[in-house]
Amino acid sequence: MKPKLIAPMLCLLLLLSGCGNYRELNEFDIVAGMAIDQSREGYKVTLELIDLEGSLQEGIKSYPVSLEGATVPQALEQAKSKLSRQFHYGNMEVIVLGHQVAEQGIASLLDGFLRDVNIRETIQLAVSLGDTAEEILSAKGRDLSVASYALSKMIAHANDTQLQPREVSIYNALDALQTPGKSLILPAVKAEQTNQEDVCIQLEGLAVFEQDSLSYTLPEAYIPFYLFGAGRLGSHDLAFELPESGEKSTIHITQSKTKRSFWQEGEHIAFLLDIRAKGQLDQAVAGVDLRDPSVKAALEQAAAQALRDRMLELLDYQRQQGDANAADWEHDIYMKDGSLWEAIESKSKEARSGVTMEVNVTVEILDSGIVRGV
Amino acid sequence: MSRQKNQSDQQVAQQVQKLNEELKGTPVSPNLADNVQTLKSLFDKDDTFLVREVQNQKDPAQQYVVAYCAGMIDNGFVSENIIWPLTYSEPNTTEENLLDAVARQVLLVHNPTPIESFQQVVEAVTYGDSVLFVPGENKALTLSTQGFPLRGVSEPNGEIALSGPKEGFGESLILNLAFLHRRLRTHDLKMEMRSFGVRSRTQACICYLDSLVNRPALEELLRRLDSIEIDGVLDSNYLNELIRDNPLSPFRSTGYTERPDVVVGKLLEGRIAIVLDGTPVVLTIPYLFIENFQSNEDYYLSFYYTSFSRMLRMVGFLLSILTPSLYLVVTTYHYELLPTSLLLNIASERLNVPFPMALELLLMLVMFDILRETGVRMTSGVGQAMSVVGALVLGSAAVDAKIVSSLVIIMVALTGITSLLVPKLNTPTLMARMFLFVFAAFGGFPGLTMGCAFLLIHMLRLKSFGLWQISPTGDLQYQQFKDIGFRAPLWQMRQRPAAIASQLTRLRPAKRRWWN
Repeated sequence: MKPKLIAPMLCLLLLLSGCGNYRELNEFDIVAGMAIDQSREGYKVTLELIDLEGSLQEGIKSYPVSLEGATVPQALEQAKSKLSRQFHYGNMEVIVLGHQVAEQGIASLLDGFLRDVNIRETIQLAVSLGDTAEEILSAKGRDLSVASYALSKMIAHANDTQLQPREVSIYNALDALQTPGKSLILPAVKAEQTNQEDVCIQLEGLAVFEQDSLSYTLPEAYIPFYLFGAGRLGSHDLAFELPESGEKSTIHITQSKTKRSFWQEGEHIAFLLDIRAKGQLDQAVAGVDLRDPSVKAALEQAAAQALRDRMLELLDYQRQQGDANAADWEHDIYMKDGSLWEAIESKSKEARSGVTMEVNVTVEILDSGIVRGV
Repeated sequence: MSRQKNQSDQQVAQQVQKLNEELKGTPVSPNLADNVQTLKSLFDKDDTFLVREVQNQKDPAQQYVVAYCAGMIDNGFVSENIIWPLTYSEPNTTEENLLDAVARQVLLVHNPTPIESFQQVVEAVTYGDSVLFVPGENKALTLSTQGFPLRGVSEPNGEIALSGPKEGFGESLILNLAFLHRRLRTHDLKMEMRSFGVRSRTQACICYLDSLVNRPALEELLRRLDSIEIDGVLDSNYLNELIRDNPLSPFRSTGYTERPDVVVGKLLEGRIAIVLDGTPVVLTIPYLFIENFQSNEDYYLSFYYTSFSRMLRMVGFLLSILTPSLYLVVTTYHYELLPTSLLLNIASERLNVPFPMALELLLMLVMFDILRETGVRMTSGVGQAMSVVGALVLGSAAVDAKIVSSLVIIMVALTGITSLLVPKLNTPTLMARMFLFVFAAFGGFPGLTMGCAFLLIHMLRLKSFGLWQISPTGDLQYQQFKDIGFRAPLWQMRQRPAAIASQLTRLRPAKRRWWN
């Protein structure tokens, strides 16, 4: 074929194939977030759509649209009878799962989301602690009016300051579900009445899953210690008391390393968390001479004891909630000892919950002024 | 139809040939009356053509005829230096003929040149020279007596420099060549005269430095110039379009400038300049693509500033051709590329706009070009006012009326302003912009990529008199890159462009100037 014909033919190919995807922006409804609840038909999907007309005058606003169906895709199909425009999911930032939906199992939902080409894999997931997930999207953020965007930014900010596990996208979640010995953890959110008119959203701890069903929620106060155990904490202000005087102090922990180890004693498995933390005193005890090594050692010991106590408290709480895999110890065994993993994999949850968890904490104060080695 | 066309073409060619051959074959007669008769028949119905008969006072038998065109000569000069001497002087013809004696002993003009045919007479007279006919000689003398009005030396409007010389070429060939001679005071500067246009006989001069010139390019240029057949050449662009490499490409293969310092700079790199009479625009060849981004004052200002400016021009060129297409693509095909807040802004702005984005952009681009053209064509005061009113009306009122969105106005304004950064690429920018726009409108990013690929392929294939415009050397040498994306200090530019200055590539080495 003559070269001079190739270019026009390519252009023709372009004309015939390309412009079918041409869409004007005003043909779309922009979806900011999605909430999924249970309903009589199956699922109730609430979409938070951006109100473009209102946004022009007074800033970005949104409104909710609820759709029902036996499955999520079927529910979204109902939009054709209610709305004149197509949905644009490209800027959707968060999917909130209702409490009941989470308790029933979310693996099939996640799988459906990943198969849908319109929904990005990096969309954040969250679990609503309220009655429904819809109330989350009907509320607003304290500093952003669109609830979905506010929630997404809150999760990202918490993730930045405390590292994981706040920010969990769809593919992360599915990956966690399919990883042996690992528990899926999603941020939990609730809507709170701030005054007579406003209902605002706020993060409220973590939702812990057992396999793909919601097992329990971890309160916000326990999150730093959960991260200590996982070795993923960025920084934390640890309050402690001096045992002799009872005076309170705070140490700002900036570095922490957690060594996780396990060993088998016959049929029994023991798991050790060895936490080494370093930080600066934020609120020193009055009259204390930090140049005295014994004083420094006493403070460090008190801080270490406080941290250990909180860690044990966390582990107890998790056990009380029926979590046999507190601190994800099963995952460590899966990764490091295949034969042991095979032995425990088939055991029941009750049998696995007999693991002994030990915690060893060392705290070092960095700003005492004492030169090391002297 | 084609048969008739061929026949009429043949008739025209025959007429032209007849015209040229007639004059070439008509010699100057020794008989003055015959010469006068020939002149009057040639310049029949041309009332500006004058024939002055002069009789010597001391020897009334000696008569002369001076022919010239009114308005073209310096009247005082002719009267004092030609008519008066011919009237009152008596040449001594014992050792030489009358023509030579008059030329050497009587006339007070420089460079009287003997001519033999009436074609030469016509060319001389129509350029402001006077022609002296002497009885008994079959030659005449052309006398340089030009006195037609010329525009003064001024800085060219399109090439204003913040720093450096402010001279610009004019319409007179000889004066333009004088600019070059003043700056290149060397015998190495060669100036070959040519004339173009069967009827206009426009003079042109091919200038080059003999020891530096790219010989293959010179030979190719001369070959192309010799093949030109045209009625008249009024501007350098006539020559440009007749000798360019790719006649259909919007990209030039010859450079142009109105500044003598630029021409001299290019001659020093081994290029060739074509200076044409009647126009201040001088062509330079060969022409590399990077020259579009080079400016004369790049060498008159600090290399830091000029490097930054040059990069700015390149970025401006890219913005100018890509901005409308990119904006179209991300707002009609690939919304996910936009940050959410920006997408919501754009969507809000476009909510009640009735036109599709592609049409909106196209309309505004066309309106911008209309405004720009209006500003250029109208007289200065009215043009500026029209531009301002047009911008206000179209920009502000159109947005208020929801005919277009404000972001489109911003994009079009950015496109227009960046296109002014590189005036030499005005035409290619316009064509490339529309070309890519069509591809983007139909195919989104894949379409835009395809369009860019086609454009790049075309640009990479551009040649200028045997040299590739984009990649002239083929091998990567550090010295070749010192005047491309940035301008290295002068003491670092130790070589001429190797592809152009094929004879001598090494400049006299300039030593690093660390004085302390």
